Amino acid sequence: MFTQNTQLDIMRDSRVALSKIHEDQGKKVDLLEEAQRIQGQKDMGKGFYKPYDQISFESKIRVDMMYYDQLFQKLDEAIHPKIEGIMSALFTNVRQIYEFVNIQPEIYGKGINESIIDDSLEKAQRKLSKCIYETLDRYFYKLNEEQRREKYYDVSKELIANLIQEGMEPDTAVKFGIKTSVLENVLRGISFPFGAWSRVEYLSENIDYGRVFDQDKLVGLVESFEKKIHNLAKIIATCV
Amino acid sequence: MSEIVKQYRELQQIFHADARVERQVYQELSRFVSTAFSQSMASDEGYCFKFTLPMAGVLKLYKIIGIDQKDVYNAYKKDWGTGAMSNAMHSDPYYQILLLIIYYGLLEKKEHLHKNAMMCCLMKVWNGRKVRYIKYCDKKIMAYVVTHMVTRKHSVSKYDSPISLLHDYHVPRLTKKYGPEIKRNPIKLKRLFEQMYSRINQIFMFNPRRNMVTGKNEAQGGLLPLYMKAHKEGMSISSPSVKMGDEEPGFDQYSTVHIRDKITNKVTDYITMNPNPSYPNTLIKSYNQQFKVKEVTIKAILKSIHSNKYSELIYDLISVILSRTNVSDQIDICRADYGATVKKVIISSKNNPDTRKIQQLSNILLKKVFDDDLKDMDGKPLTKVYDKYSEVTRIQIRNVLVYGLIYNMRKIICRGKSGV
Repeated sequence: MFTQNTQLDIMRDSRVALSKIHEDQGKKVDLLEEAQRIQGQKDMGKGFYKPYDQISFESKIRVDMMYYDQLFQKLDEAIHPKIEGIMSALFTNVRQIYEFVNIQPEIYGKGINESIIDDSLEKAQRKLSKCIYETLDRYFYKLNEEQRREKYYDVSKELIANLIQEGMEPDTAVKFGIKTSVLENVLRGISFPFGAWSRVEYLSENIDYGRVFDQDKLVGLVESFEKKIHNLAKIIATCV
Repeated sequence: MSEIVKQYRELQQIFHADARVERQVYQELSRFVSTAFSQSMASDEGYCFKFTLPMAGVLKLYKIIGIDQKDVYNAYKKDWGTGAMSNAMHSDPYYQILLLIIYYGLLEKKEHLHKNAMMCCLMKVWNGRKVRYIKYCDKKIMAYVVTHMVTRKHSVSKYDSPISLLHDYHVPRLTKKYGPEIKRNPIKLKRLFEQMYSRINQIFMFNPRRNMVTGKNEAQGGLLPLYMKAHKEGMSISSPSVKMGDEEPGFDQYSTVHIRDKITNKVTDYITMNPNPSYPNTLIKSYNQQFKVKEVTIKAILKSIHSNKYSELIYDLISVILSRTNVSDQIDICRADYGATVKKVIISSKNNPDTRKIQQLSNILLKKVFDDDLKDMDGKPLTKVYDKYSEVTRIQIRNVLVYGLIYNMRKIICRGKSGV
């Protein structure tokens, strides 16, 4: 299917690559030089992220809200007005973090992007519930009892202790605590998918970033976000 | 069974029986698209560009494949209904053969076929819509519309020519959205075809509303109303002061260049010969809120640029900023909306030679400032720190520099002038 010119181009490129390989094979490598060369190539993903833009954020929030609609399905309707306030504060917080680290907002879920907004409600719901189910499977259902405790017991210890003090049965308290931790992971993922969260965490701790930027403010925003999703996870955990 | 599917089966048999036929169809389609690309590259019409359509070439595909034009027409007629076929577009043999190839390409996963065929369809739709809405298109007015009037959300602001808009934006999106549906149900081919039309139509006009005075429907968005507005207000871009060409520059262009030189010299001198600048605290705080850089670092960066050693870089930066913001008179800088212009054409704009130049110069200047002048809160030098930052982090620091230069520019040029 290639034209003659394309074939010639490919042959020429292959010849150049082969001669470079032969050339490199015959060359003696100075370890220090090689180390410097690799160091020079290392860029820590400097060009990986795109800058923040409001349009992407708006699309992201629309998709995030669709995720939350799925999670709130079984929630008592009386709680809904209360949730709206929390959600609004959460979205503001998420925007502030994306703006702060200046990266393009990302949408959670494999194969899910802003085009889901144009899908029929039924189709969109199907895609999102599949995605939520896969996440829960990865974080929870796939693990056996021991793995679950190992992964989540430490992080939910404080909540479990409080619940027991308040009179809850220890077994129920442990289950609820673990469920809350799992949901926290899900909610964090929805707001900040892996790439975005890695960036936020990296900049929250990076020394060079802190020398020039208001890192304390970023850490404050992240802590406030964590608190909000913890509270939200507790509410959702009561009904799932 | 759908008649279009029967036609597809026939096409499949022909292509499978003789691979040379498929190859020839592919070569023809690639030739049409690459010719369109070469013509687009040679043209300076921008969004006024009209494709030279491969009408004869596309119709010749019936002959190359060995398929009857009438049979294909009847297949569409049976599947889409007589009503649809009364429409000139639906009954056009040009589109019909291409749509059949698109269908074949999607089913057989032959991307090179369906994408090129779709491109040929979109080229014809583009021509039709352009001529319908802006028959006599002035490239200078259109350039003004695309550069200054369309919002960032509009697709034309992201692509420099209709061909890249069709090829890089519409073809992938349409394929992604309708490809899977078509594979399941060939009737959806009609939907794809109609979407090609609607999406191109939307570029020119959308959201029509009835004008209560004239009683006519008028578009609220798209290139058409903006073009008409620019035309009415006499707005256009010829920008000869930044354009390199064979034509002799006229008086106006010399005048613009002269004024810019004067502003550039004055601002560069003011910045580099004033080693003890004062910036209001409110300004520093507002930069801190916007760009998240520590107040102390903002102060240090803005103080550092007041040095004679950076005069050449500052001169170049101011010169490109003036060119990019299209300043032709001192009063342009002092206008209340100059800040918004800077935000639109420098801060938010990425892919054009002027903004790339601003980024390069700012990077060089900031690297020097970081390496030579800056220290952190503990008094440790920030040497080589700028190199470690990612591009998105550098943007925030560059914005501090650009806004700082513009603050100085307005401070010295607009002193005593109204409109600031």
